[in-house]
Amino acid sequence: MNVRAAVAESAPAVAFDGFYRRELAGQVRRAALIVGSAELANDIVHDAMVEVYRRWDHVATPGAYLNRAVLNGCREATRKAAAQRRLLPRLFERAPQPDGDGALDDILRGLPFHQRAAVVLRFYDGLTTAEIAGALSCAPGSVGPWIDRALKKMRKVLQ
Amino acid sequence: MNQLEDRLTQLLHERAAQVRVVEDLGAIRRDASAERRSGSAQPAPGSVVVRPEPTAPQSRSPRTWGLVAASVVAVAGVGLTAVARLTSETEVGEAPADPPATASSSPALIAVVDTLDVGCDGDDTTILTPTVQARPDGVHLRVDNTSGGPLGLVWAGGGENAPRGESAHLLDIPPGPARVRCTDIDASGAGATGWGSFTVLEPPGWISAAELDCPTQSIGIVDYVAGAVGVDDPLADAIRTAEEISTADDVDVMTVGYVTAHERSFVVREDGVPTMILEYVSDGHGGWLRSTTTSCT
Repeated sequence: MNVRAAVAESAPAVAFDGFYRRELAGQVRRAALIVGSAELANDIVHDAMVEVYRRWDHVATPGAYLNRAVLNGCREATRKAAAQRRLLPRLFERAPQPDGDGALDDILRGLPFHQRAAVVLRFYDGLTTAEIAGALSCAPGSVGPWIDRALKKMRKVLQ
Repeated sequence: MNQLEDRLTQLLHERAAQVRVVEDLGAIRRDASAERRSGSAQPAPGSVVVRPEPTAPQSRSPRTWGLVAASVVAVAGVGLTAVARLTSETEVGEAPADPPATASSSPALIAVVDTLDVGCDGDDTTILTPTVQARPDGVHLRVDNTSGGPLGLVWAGGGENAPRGESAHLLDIPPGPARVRCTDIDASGAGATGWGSFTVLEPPGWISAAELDCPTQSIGIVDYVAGAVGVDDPLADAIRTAEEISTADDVDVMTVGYVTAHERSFVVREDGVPTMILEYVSDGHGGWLRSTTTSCT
């Protein structure tokens, strides 16, 4: 058994500051495309960064951890927004609206979370199907149908 | 379609370039410290976290509720798509007592092992890997029996023989604190060696208990006559059930718990909210019988 040696092997130490600066802009921009609000995206990424910072000593793959935390934050924000629209229509009308404008934002907002996230990860981040599946915690088989459905809905707007 | 995709890529990048990014590293440290002081910090959804004890909502088996991994079925729009749940993030141990004051003070990251190594010499049970990450099918354990003869291996809820030399075992114990011990196979329990303690981390793809918050409203339990034949694919059956009852646009069906030869459990979520738990048991002949159906809403 070579277990102790395996435990003792450590990944290279990575400074959180450098990690933060490297990841911040990309994460915020991606989150903004998914949730339709730069302000909300900054909040989501901030909260995710706080989690990464708190667990910095113990997270083996901080990049993957951050990706998951941000996407989960986007998912939760999407769910809350949908619930607000259903349950509190009057309050929602008075609440701050997403700051995106134009056809792209409208059509993105109309997509279910998985479709929206898959589209952003594919066409903004340029991720492969396998990478999208990993980021969204699903299998590759689900990604294609999500993107296909999203593109069908977006075709009229984009062409 | 390529023109459409190119146009979409261009629009997304143009839109992203307009997003204002707020950089405030100091706020990260302040908020992390404040959360720690207040004790209100919560793990990131979906993160792999060590819990003192596996959480188990009332009237659910700890095994079902404590373990989440494996498969996901996504239902979006008109159809259902079977997928498998895989995530790459891994966390070892509990959160640090204090966050690093400066980045330069951050220690090296820790590698994770996914096999529990135990040494048994006939006198003591030695845990060589005090922290082990579970795999989707359970906790993999490797015993090195140097006693010169066969021993027994016991853990909470189970036990197997540990022959001389190395042997592999698969345990269905939930994440959290756990223990095993080697025993003299010919002796009573009184002659067993001491327990060896270790911690099991959730497997990749684990979803926090908060994401499976299902305030149980009703549970249906089905009994079958002897020889009943189940469905070939319990996941497909769960999908069909979700398709029949769900009207939401964003529905997913996830496998809950270890993927074992005897039990499978699935949670149906609508817009991210659990609405139903479906549990299946093996019919003993390769098929699966739905044993319980729990409504969450």
